[in-house]
Amino acid sequence: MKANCWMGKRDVRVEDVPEPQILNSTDAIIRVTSTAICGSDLHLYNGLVPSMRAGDVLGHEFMGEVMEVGRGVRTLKVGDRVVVPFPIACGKCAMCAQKKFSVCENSNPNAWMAKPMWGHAGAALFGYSHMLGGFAGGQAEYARVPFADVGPLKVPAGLRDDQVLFLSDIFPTGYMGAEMCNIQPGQVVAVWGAGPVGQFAIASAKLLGAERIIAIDSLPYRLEMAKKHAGATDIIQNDKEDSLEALRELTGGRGPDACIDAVGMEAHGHGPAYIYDRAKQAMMLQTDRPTALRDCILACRNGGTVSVVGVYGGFIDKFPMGAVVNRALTIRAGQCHVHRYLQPLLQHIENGDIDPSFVVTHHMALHDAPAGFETFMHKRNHCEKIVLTTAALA
Amino acid sequence: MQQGSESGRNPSTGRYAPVRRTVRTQPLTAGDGDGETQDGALDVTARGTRQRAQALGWLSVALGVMEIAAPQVLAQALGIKADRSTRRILLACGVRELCAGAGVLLSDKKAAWLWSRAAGDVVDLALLAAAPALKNADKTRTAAAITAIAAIAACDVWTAAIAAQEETPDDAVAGELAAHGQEIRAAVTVATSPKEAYDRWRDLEALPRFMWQLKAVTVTDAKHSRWEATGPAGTSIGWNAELTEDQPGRSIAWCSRAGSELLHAGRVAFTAAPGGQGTEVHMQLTYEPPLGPVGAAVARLGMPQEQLEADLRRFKQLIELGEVVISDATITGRDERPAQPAHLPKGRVRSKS
Repeated sequence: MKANCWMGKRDVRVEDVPEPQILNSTDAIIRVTSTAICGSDLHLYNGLVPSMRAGDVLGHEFMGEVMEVGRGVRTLKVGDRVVVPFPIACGKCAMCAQKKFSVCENSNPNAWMAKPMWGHAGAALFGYSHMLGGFAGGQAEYARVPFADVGPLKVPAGLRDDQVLFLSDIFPTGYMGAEMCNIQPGQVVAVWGAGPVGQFAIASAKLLGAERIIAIDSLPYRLEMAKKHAGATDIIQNDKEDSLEALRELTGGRGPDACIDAVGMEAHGHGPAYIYDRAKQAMMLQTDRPTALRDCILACRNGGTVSVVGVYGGFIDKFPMGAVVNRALTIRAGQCHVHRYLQPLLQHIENGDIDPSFVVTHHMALHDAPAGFETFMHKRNHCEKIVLTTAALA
Repeated sequence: MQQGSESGRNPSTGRYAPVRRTVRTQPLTAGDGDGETQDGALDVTARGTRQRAQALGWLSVALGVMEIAAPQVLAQALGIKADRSTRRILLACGVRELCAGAGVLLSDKKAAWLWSRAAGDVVDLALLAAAPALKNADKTRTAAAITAIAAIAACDVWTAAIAAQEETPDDAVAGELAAHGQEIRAAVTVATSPKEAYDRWRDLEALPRFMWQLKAVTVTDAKHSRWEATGPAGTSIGWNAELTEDQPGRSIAWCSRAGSELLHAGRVAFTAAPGGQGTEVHMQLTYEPPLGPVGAAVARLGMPQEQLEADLRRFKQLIELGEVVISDATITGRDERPAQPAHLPKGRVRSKS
């Protein structure tokens, strides 16, 4: 089968690889119909995530049709149309029992690799490095899905792939980002990053009742999408104006009640601090550039919440801990516990509260994945979200 | 695109053909794939050190005979001129080799005689190192001889070190470990009762299901068992273990006994975790790497701490899920291939559920 493989920094290629097979009794094999390129795939693309190996199949946002199930699978049947959550969760450990699926204790066979950097390991993720399990991803014609009764969500035939595909990651991730803010009526939420996760964080903040939602990004087309489709009430183009100044202005000097970092480890910024961060990252003196996170903390209202759903991998510098302590901020973070949001968010889609397909700007065939990475990386053609389809190959 | 060439597809329709991909009813059956029966594997390893020692003993004898009976031939092979002093030196070395050979072949204390061989190697190397200074010396031949003897010396040292461990008397193991042992510890919390965790552990022959360095454990009687494991660089090492503590539902401890290629002691304890979270499994291993600090460095390359932690996580998976979780990268038991589906030869899937 064809699969998009990571071959090295800025080098992905569609290769012929063997088809997946059932390895554990609760596996299912999915014929992938649609799969997306995630912003976090760009961290892999740029070589910033450790423990990648040439030949790793990428992709953690995918959906398709069940072709085969292991003997231990009870609820999923061959022929079911499913969308697959990006974290792999066993459904039986103590963390899964608490619905903290992204920190499943059993799914990651390479947990030992994560210990030096993280102390403990999280769940395995599809197509996202060896320290996160070494599972092949879904940017392929077929994918093996472990714990098939725990993760995959059956989706109704009436909904198009584009409408449900993002239940695999970015919609629940944005939603969790908003949910962690514990939004109260009348509150103001600021969202850093108007990429796909940021769009869904904005849309979710709206669903959860925020009164005003401020989108912050440097790309005008993304800010326009945030305002037109996601529900942002205000926008700040942060390469044209000082976002901290603008936020104070927009909130009567209070600062937003909650700030969401939907940017992560490869933030863009400007000025000496940004140059400093880039240099340190290039020299491996810090792994992540926390420009957005610092701004979230400095901007946030006293006693407010900073919610981090952008991906960070390792260590950061110049973390304004003084602001966190002296202004009693709450910091919440996490890879999304996708499984717990699948049903409620599908309900929102079915109700017509939201149509997640608004973020899609590009459809490409799976074999054009390398061009897709290029386009997404350089934000060419107003790229927001690329969906890869296998239809052209069938 | 290379349509139609992919496996599992019908070339005429280009469609996926599920019938060709039957679900294996036992995808996780054990398969070492090396074709060895347990007994066969045990015999081979148990004999390993002795065989190596015997071979080295015979090598001594052969070399000694040659040094005494045909010094000219040997000197020529070594690239040195067989003058009178050379012949005298070779005669002395020959006597030494015959003594060492007889000792290795006939004595039960092979380690000491192997060390004497290693010391002899050092002498030989020193003599050969001086050879190029002689008149008419063939430096190429001498260099080749030095390389060969260095390799034999490494084999002597390694075999002697392993033999020394095997010959350690039972009553000296604890003292050896206390003096030179490396200790590693790991713990995991498993959603089960201490009794169940203990019972699963006490089934020693099933340990290789989650301790993937182990190839086989054979229980020989109520207190004794024979263990076979994969050592550094894919070598095979074995030991005899004796249970030194066995408290049902609480703890198990064991210690290696004479005839072990790895001196070690282990203990695993099961205690109830707070808040009804199950059982804490605390494991402690003390082992004496052959060759002291050098051996310890070699052993650390095998990442024993990480292996122990991975073993305990697999134990947790076995109890909580009923099987060990395999990813594409860990399909052979260790992370050694890309995260990409593979068609591996039958028996290479390293799952033991």
